Amino acid sequence: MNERAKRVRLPPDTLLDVRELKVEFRLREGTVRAVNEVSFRVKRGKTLGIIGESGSGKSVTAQAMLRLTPAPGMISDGEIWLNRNPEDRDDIVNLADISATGELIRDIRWNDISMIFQEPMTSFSPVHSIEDQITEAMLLHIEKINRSGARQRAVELLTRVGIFNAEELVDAFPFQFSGGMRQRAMIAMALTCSPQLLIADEPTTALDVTIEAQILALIKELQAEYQMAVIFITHDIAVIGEVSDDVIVMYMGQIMEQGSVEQIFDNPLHPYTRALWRSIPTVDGTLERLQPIEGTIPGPFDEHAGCPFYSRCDSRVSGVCDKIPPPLVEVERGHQVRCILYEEDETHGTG
Amino acid sequence: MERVETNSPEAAPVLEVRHLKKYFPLQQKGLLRRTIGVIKAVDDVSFVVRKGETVGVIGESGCGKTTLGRCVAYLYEKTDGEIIVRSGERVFHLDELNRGNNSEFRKIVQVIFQDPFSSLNPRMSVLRSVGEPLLVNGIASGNELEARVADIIQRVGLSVSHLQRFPHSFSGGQRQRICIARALVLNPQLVVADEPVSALDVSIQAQMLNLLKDLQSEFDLSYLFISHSMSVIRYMSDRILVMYAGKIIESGSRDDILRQPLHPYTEMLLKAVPKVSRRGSGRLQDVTSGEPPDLLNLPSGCVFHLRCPYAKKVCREEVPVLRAVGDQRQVSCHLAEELVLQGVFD
Repeated sequence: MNERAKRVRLPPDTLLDVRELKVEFRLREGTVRAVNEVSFRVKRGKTLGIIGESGSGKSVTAQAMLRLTPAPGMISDGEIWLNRNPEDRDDIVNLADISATGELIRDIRWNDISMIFQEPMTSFSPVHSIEDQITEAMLLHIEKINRSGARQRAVELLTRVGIFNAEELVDAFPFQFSGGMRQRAMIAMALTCSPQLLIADEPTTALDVTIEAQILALIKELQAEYQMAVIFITHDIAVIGEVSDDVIVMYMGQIMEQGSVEQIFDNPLHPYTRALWRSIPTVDGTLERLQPIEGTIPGPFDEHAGCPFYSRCDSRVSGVCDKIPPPLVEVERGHQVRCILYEEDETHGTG
Repeated sequence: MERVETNSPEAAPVLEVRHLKKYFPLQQKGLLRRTIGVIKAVDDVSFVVRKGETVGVIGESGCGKTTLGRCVAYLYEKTDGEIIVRSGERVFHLDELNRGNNSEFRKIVQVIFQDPFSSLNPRMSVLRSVGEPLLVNGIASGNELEARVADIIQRVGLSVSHLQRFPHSFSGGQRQRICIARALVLNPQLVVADEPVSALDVSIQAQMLNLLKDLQSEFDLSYLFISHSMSVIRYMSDRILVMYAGKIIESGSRDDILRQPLHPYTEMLLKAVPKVSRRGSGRLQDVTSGEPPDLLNLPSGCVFHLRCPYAKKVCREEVPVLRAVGDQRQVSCHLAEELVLQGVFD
């Protein structure tokens, strides 16, 4: 793309600017377009929530940010611009364009972007102590830190994330921790190099609600303390509403709707978003019969010429929605919808 | 101890559980296999499930809700207590089950599990999986079996064309429909549903919950519905049992439990549920610390006192008993009468 040659500048509050990202898995059975022309911005210190069901591409999007896309997946198009230095707007790098195994991306991991996962048991090595695993990242990424300094910092971090008696528990092994404690330790590990962006991929899905609330509150606290941006990925609508400033709704690799948390929750526009909102049981809402989304999520190889949600949509226009892929249109400032029911609001424009 | 009462004498409960206990001995590895501790997964639990009713069981992981369901379905041998299942005139005491009437019992009590991927045999077609219960019980075979399987498979929202297909060609939601069909093909009275929607995508959960409700009214089923999700429990249940560390700590009608919880743990669970309609409703501003208890090392007195924001001296010293409070409600908390706890309102 020629655009890369041009001088790229990000708006001042923008940490990460993803432009028309495509991630494909070329398999024997065909090509899976796991992420299909996805564009979004992450603002410094803010939380971007990505909601979607299995196969929506939300986790693949996150992996692409760290260049962790597993083979045979690959970024086939698009740009991921990261501003590494808040003081210098010209210090930017296109993560889509650098080596996935090179020096630079290894420097960016942990230092600029780190990640926490759903299942903290499988993300830790079972045969190394918590100390070994937390200090490993420090010893590799922080200059002039020695073993005892790293251990001291590990204890501080574990204490900070709410593990009592960290002095002793730092020598424990992951299996000795409860699920909640493992997730806390994982967060401590992610914070070792004070990253600017934390990617949290379903971090509370495996936890009880009481523990989930503790972990979410902790992430929010640390976010303020470290002035960190967060990309929060989940299938849980209620959680997205609690933690996000901006929200992306994904379906089959595409952004269906995007906007501020107020826009998405108070005025959901896409038939998919609306249907999702109606279909979930709540603890304090109506007790009337749920209105499920009919049908099933299409398989990854199912070809669709038009809108991916066509087969399940209650507002579909046959002959149109199944033929022409709908464009993402901005209906009000910052609120974009991929649906032919809506027209571009010309007064604002996309800029 | 409290007695289980049946309030409507014309309808004897489908399931009656009295002082059920299920202990797991914890054995040392090695030659001697000394028992070094006992996990009381279910400890003195009593309740009833009436005809056509859904009783929801809620609690955190490790509270014993799954063990309870497995004991009721006779997948675990209980340690002590009584489990009585009634179908019309017939009464089954779980103690008296033997080879002769075991299969009769299985026709009456069926289970739906959480994971529709591991609970179907990948080498068996839908027809064989769903038809197997009919075959092993000698109820139907050949064309009759196929007709009955076809009937139930359509009732759960699949089509006859699916019968010859294998589990791998179905989505999670469709597989759970197959599991439901398999559970219902014998016309059971009671279905133990253990987290039946937890492994499904959000857009599929509502389909499944509605299907379970429809089938309940169609076949007059009773459900013992186990879930960790208060929202799902609320949608499905007539009555709710709240479990903590192997015991029921509160029980009552759905509306009573949600609007006016009597146990601080129930209040804590309700507070911890994220609320869609009131975004930023303060769940994260007011987080209770602490984790589920270590079952090998339970605290003295009330097992909840270490996490309880209202705990007093008596809570640390005396074990509260489950007692009746008002009509149709039970709670085990020393302070139930003096506390005014916060529920959720619709």
